[in-house]
Amino acid sequence: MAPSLDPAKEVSTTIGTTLGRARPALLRRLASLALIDRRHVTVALATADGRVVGIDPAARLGMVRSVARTVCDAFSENIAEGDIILTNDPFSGGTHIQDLTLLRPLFVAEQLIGWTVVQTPLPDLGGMALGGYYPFALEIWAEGIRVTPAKLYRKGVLQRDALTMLTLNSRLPHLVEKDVQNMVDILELANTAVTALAVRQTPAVYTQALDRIIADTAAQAQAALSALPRGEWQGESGPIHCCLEEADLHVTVRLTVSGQSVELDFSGSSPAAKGFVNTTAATTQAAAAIPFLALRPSLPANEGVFQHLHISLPDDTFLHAKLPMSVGWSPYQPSQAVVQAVAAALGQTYRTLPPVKHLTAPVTAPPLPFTVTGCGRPGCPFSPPQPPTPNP
Amino acid sequence: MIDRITALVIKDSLEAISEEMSKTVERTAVHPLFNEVHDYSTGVFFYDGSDVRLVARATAIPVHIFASILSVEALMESFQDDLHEGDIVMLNDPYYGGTHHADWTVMKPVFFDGKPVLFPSVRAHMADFGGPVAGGYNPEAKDIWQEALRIPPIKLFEKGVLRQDVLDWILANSRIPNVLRGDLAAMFGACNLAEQRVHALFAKYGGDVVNESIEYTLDYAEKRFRAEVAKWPDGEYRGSATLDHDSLGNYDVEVKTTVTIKGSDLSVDLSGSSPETPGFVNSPFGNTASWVYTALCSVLPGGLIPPCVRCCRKPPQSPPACFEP
Repeated sequence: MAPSLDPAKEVSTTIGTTLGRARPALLRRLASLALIDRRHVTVALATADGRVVGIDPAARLGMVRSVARTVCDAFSENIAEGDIILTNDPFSGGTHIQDLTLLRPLFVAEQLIGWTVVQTPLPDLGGMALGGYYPFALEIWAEGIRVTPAKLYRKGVLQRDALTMLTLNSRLPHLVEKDVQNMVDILELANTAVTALAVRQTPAVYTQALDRIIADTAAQAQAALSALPRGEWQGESGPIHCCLEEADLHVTVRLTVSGQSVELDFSGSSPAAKGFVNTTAATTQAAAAIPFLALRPSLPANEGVFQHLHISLPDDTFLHAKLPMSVGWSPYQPSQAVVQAVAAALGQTYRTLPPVKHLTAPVTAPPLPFTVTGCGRPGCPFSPPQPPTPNP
Repeated sequence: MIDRITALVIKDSLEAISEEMSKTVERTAVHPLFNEVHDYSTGVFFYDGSDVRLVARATAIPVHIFASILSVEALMESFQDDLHEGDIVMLNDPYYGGTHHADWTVMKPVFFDGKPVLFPSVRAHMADFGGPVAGGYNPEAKDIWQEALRIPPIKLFEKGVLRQDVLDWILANSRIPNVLRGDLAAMFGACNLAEQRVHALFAKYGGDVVNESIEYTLDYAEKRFRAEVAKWPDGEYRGSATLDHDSLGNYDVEVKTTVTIKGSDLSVDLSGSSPETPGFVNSPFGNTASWVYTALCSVLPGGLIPPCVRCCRKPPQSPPACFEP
C-alpha cells in the first residue's frame, strides 16, 4: 500500500509549483515589463483570513501580507466566487501608488478557503510625473491616484466602468489595461491549480494544512531567533536624501533579543519628511524582515516569519507614513536604509556584519525608464533640474 | 396630436422638477459652494432613442447645464443596453462631456416602457478631488493627469444599490472626503426625488403623452428660435477676444468666431483661433459649446434658449475647433 502523502507537504509542494509557474508566466506576458521594476512582480497565496502562506519573490512578503489582510478585513462580509479586488493604495496596506495588487478569493463548495494574489507595478497612474516618481510631491495626490480596495470583477463579471476609471488616469492606458488582463489570467492559473488540490483534499484538510505550514515556519523562525544572544543592539543607516529637506534622514533601530522573540524599535529615526521618502508601516516592516529572511535561507517565506518578530514604529517618524504623506520612493532608498540599519544591529549579535549587499539588492533602485528630476543638490540621486527654455 | 395646454403643463412640470432638485441640493449639500455660491445646476434631459436634448432646467450656471448634454450622451455611449432602474451615473472627466475636473455630473435614467427616457441631472463644482493642488487649479499642469482624478461615466448606484467600494475609491482622492460625501448624497437625493416626480407625471398623463409633449415643446422651441434668427440680417459676423496668457509663458491666446446667418440657420465657426497651448486654458468641446449657447441666450428674448440638439453641434466638415482635446 502506497504511503499517504502528508497534506501539508502536498499543499506546500503545490504552492511552490504554482508560484514557480505563475510568476515566470506573468513576467513573460507583461506588456510594460521594460518600463517597470520586474523585481516587484509578485505572486502569492494566502489563507481565508489573508495570511500569506507562500510568495514569490520572498523579499516581497511584507509588502503583500499587509494588503492581503486589509482586503480581507474590508470584504469579509461582501465577497463571492468570481470576485477580484484591486488596490494600489499605500494607506490600505500598500507601498506606493505604482504597485497594483489584484486578489481573488478561492472557493470550494461555497466555502472561502484562501486567496490568490498578484502584485505588479504599473508604468503610470497619473500625478505630476510620468511614471509616478515625483521628488517634490508634498502629498500622495501629487504622485497619482489612490485606488482603495474595489471590485474589478463581481461574480465573474468585469466592472468595465471601474477598469475605465483606472486606465483613464494613466498616461499609458493601453499598457495598463493589457497588464491588468495579464494579472487576471495569472490569478486564474493559480486558482485552478490550488482549488483542484483543495477539492481533492477537502476544504477542511486543505485549510488545516495551510495553518500547519505557517505554524511550522513560525517554529523554525523562533528556533533561529532563539540562537541569537540575548541583549540590545543599535543599528543606524546611511543618509537618505530628500529634495524637500535641508538635512538627510536616517533610520535608527534598537534590536532587543529576549529569548524566543525579537523586537525592533525604530524610535529615534528621523521625523516625517516633506518629500516622497516616507514609508508606510507595511513597507517598513517588509524591509525590516529582509535580514531575518537571510538569517536562515531555508526559512519559507510566509506569515510565520513575523510571528515572533515585533516591530515598533512611532507615529512621528518618516517610517510610519500617514495620509496624506507622499511615499513614492519608499521601496528604494528608504527601504534600503531600513535593511541597512537592521542588518547593522543584527550583525552585532554575531560580532560581524552579515553581507548586506545581497540583502539590499531587492531594494536598490533600478535604472528608471523615465527621467526623474530632483533638486540638483549634492547627494540627490535624481537628474538635475534643467534650466527653463526661453519662450519663443 | 398633443394639445398645447397639456404640452405646456408638462413642460412646466419638468421645469418645476428641476427647480425642486435645485432647492433640494441647496438645502442639503455641505459645502458653501452649493448654498452660498450656487455653483451647481439642475436639469432634465430627454433621450428619444438617438439624440439627447435639454428639456428643462432651473436657474443654472450656463456652462454646467449645456455641457451636461454631452455628459448624458457619454452615459448612453458607455452603458448602452446596461442601464437599469435605480442606476445613478456620475462623471467629471472633461473629455466625457465635462468642462473641468471640478464639475461633477450626477445623472439618473428614468424609464418608461423599459427604456431610459428622461435623465434628471445635477452638475456641481466640487471643492476638492485630489491632484497636486488643493481645489484642482494647477497653473503648472501641462497635461490633464497633473490636475486631478478623472472620473469616466461610472455607476455609483446599480439597480438601487450603492457601490460602496467605488464611492470609497473616489472619496480617497479628495482632501475633504466627508464634505464630498455629503455633497454627493445631496446630488443623489435630488435625482431620486426627480425620479419620483417624473414617475408621478407618467402615472398622471401616461408616458406617450409625456413624450409627445416633450417633442412638441422642443419643436416649438426650435420654431421660435428659428423665427428669431430669421429676423437677423443674413451675413457673416466676426468677433474675437484675447486671453492674456496660459500661465506657462504663452501670451495672447486668441478666440476668433465667425457667426453665419442664412435665413433661419445659424452657425458658429471658431476656426482661426489659437492652437492648443501647453497651459491649462484649453477648452474641451462641452465647455466651448456651453459658452456659445450662453452668448446666444443673452441675445434671445427672455425665456428662450437655443434648442440644444444636433443642429448646434459642429458639422463634420468643419476644421477642428481650437482647444480640442
